[in-house]
Amino acid sequence: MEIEAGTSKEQDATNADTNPFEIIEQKILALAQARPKGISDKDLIIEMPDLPSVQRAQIINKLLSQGHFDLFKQGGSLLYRLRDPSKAKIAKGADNEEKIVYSIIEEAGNKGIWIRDIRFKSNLMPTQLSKILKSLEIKKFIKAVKSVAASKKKVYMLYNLEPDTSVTGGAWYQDQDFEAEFVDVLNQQCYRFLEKKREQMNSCRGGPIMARNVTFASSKEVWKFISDLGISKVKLSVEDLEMILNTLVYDGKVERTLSGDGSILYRAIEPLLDSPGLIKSTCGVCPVRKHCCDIGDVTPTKCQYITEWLE
Amino acid sequence: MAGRGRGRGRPSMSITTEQLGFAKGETLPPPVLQPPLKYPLLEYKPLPLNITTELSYLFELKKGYAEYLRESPNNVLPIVVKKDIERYSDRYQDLITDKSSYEIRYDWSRMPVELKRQLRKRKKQKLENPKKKQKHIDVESKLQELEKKESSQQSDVEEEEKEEEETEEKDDEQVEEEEEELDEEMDEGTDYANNYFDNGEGYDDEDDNLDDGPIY
Amino acid sequence: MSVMCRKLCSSILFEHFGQIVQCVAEDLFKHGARSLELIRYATDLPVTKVKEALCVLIKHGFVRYSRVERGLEFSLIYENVLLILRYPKYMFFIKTMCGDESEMILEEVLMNGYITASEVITKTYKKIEQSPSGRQPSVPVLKEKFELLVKNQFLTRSLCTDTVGGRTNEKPDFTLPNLNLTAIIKKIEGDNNSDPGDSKIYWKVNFDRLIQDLRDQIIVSAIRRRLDENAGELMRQLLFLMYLRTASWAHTSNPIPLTEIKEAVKKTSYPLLIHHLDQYLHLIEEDSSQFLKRVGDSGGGQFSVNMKEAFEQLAWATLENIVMERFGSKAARIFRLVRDKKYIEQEQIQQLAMIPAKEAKHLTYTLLQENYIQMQEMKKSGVSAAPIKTFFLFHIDLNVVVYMEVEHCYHALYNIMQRREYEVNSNKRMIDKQLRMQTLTTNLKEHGATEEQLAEIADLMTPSEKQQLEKVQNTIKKLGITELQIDDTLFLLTMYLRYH
Repeated sequence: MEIEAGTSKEQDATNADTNPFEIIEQKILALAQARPKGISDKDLIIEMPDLPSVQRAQIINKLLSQGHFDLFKQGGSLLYRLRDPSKAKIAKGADNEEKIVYSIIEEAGNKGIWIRDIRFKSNLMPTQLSKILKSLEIKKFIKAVKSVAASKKKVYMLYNLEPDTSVTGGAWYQDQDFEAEFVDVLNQQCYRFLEKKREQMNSCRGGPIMARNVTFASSKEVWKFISDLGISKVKLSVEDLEMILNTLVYDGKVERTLSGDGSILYRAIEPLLDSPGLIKSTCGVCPVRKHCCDIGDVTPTKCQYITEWLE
Repeated sequence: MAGRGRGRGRPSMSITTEQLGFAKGETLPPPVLQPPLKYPLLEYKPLPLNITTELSYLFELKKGYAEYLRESPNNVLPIVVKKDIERYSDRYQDLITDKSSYEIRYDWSRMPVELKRQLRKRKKQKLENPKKKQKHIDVESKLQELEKKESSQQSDVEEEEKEEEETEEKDDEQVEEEEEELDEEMDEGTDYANNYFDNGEGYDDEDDNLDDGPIY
Repeated sequence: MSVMCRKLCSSILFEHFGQIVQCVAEDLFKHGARSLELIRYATDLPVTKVKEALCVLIKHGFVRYSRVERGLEFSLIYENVLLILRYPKYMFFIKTMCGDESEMILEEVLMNGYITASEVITKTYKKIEQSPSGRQPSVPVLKEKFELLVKNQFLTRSLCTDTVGGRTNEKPDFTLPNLNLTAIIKKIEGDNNSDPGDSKIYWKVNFDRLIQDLRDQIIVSAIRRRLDENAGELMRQLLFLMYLRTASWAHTSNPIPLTEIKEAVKKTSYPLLIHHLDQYLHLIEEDSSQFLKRVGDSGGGQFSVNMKEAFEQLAWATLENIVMERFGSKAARIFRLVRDKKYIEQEQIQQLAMIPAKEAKHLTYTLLQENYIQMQEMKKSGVSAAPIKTFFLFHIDLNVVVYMEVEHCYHALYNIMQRREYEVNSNKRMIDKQLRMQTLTTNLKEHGATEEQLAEIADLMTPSEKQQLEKVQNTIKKLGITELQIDDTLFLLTMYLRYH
């Protein structure tokens, strides 16, 4: 929004003066080229302290509108990243529809956008839209990325973008496939670690509260344990591991508490109850209970499950 | 499907193939052509039953209690006269079908007297003896008739009863009494048929009886 | 009440009281309160038999009657019938609390519905006399044990009005009769003219009290499991203190001051608990089970036991376990996740549970289909033109699921009972044969039979028969024990419903 507003204002400015602006433009572009990760306003202030902020904004807006830059947000500040020069040419040689579609996709950033949403926003006919998408794809302006959120659902984003973890699924996905086994192994290992901690409580002599406290482990501690195990090919973050630890919470094996300093603590716990008696009978786990009555093939006296269970 | 009958084109509560994880156009699993097994393989078996001494003891208590009650007079037995085969439980049977009947087992100061068995003074009986005999024959024939159509509708029964009522009106009380006798005379197979002779007025009988004064 | 519940009650009655009582009760079950005439009409039973059956049912507290315009109306109290499933547990509880003689006294009362003190003492006396344990019964001891049961309110006076419907809620009466011990002894010796002095004073089991005790046992063992022995003992003390100051079925206890807890704990034989009382209190209070709450600071702290919350937690734990055993650990993870999030979308489920999308959907759908979770359709408000106008949120309606599992328990109990009966019937001849042999052996023993003679009788059964018999007995035992186990689940869920 900000950028769009700037664009209209800035158009008058471009008409007015040209030369000094172009020099600055070149300078900024060179700077951006030197830092492929992107440059922030702060960087520009440091590099070009003489440049008044109004002018800087005008130039940046112009470069953005011409498609030289992509805009990112990182750690609360905006980042400008140089776009692959070939892609910047989108404006040229593309018709209006392509431009519209391109800008819609651009807007979606690295989270991508679903074809239905593009159609909806662009008001284009489905056949026309898919043609445009294909053409943009061939020209490597955009790419289609399979999203893990909904299996086989494709989202479109600009070609040079690194897909967001919500699209790739982060550490738990490889080629859009969820690595269930990997997750299970981590789940077990985390539990093993917390269980070991729990065992320590038996040798603790400092009273029941102290004994309980030795069972706590922070997510960082568990993270370190897992990292040291070296079972992960990819580098896991503490947040990644907290996801795993949370599955243990949902397994009912682990409890999560917030410590005084705001860090999250985990500990293995014992369930409140033994397994209920109901599920010690076949009728407790019977898959055909709905058909079970006094007559017919499924009856308590004829029941094969009970017969087998009695053997 | 849950969405059936919910009207045109509205998204229903039923789950679409997409929600089940199939993308559009993806091949769905082939339709199931065989009927499901009556007892499909158990995916999850019941947890093992660990029979502790405590559980064994509880089981003994359970069994003991049930057996005791079953063999006690609390198990109300049908009236049996002929013994077809000798059973172990026959040993106790004499005790159970004690002629003194269930009444002696209850403290009638705290039970409704209506639940006492209503044995009549036998005075009237003598006078109307011949009539009663006749009735008895009637009963036998009727029983046979009824047995033939065992699953007869209740309305039939009611009809029969109405007829009965007309002829009986005068000797209501006697019917009651007769029943008591029949109870003892008939064998197991037919004693249920007794009730076909219930004219539905036994209730009033009891009231009458109460007016006569309590019987203990 | 459901068909399944009716069938279960019917089975229970059949097992204990035979077909006629079952038939009469079943009729009351189907039609609610009604008159003798209607019962007789519907059951096709001789009127004496209906009357006799009603007497049995009334005496055991399963039927209540009330006087209406035209006479009497009988109605069934099915909850009391279901209690039979738990009788063994009550007896065992009394055994551990008050000893063997008390257990036998309680059993005798259960067998009779209501009974006088002198009679129950007499009967128990004779039972001990005849038991193979060789113990010597004593009337004074039995009287003492009887009084102990009354003092602990496990027995209460059975009043005439108990069985009459629409009764005013009279206070339970625990006044002990003046028993003439010599008269009881004389009676045991066969003198029927002696008067023990308690004629028409009847006693019955105070189920309400026993139910509370079994309830408390669940709470104590949960805390013991979660924390340790000491914490379990503390919980027991807390429940006792709650009992002293709070109405029986109150949701939470009146505040219990720390000083009193200290006093109570001092008397226990748990040195670690006495030493670390404050810490243990803190642990129970901090535990996610939420059985205990600190409600004030006066007097070193005031604590309140929260029964309602406790049984909610326990019901959840039960359901989670059931889901786990029926559908696997991943399904249980989803179930807990939905519980935790209250309302959650499918996509979030697979992300947070970290289960592959397809599997997560399949499991969620299975849980939905089996009614362990519920689905709610939501409309996105405002964005009318949005491509997806509706979305679905999953949630769990605890009451719905608990009711469903209560039914499940009824069904399972009914099935197992049916199967047990079937197993007994299809092996009846052999079981009877064994019974006959047993009686014969005991009779012969009494008459001083030789070892040889006894061995001869034992040989009447062939080895294969013996083997078969043993198998049948094991089968019956396994089924019987399973019933006891299923009833545990039923009891816990019923307790939840009682509070919610």
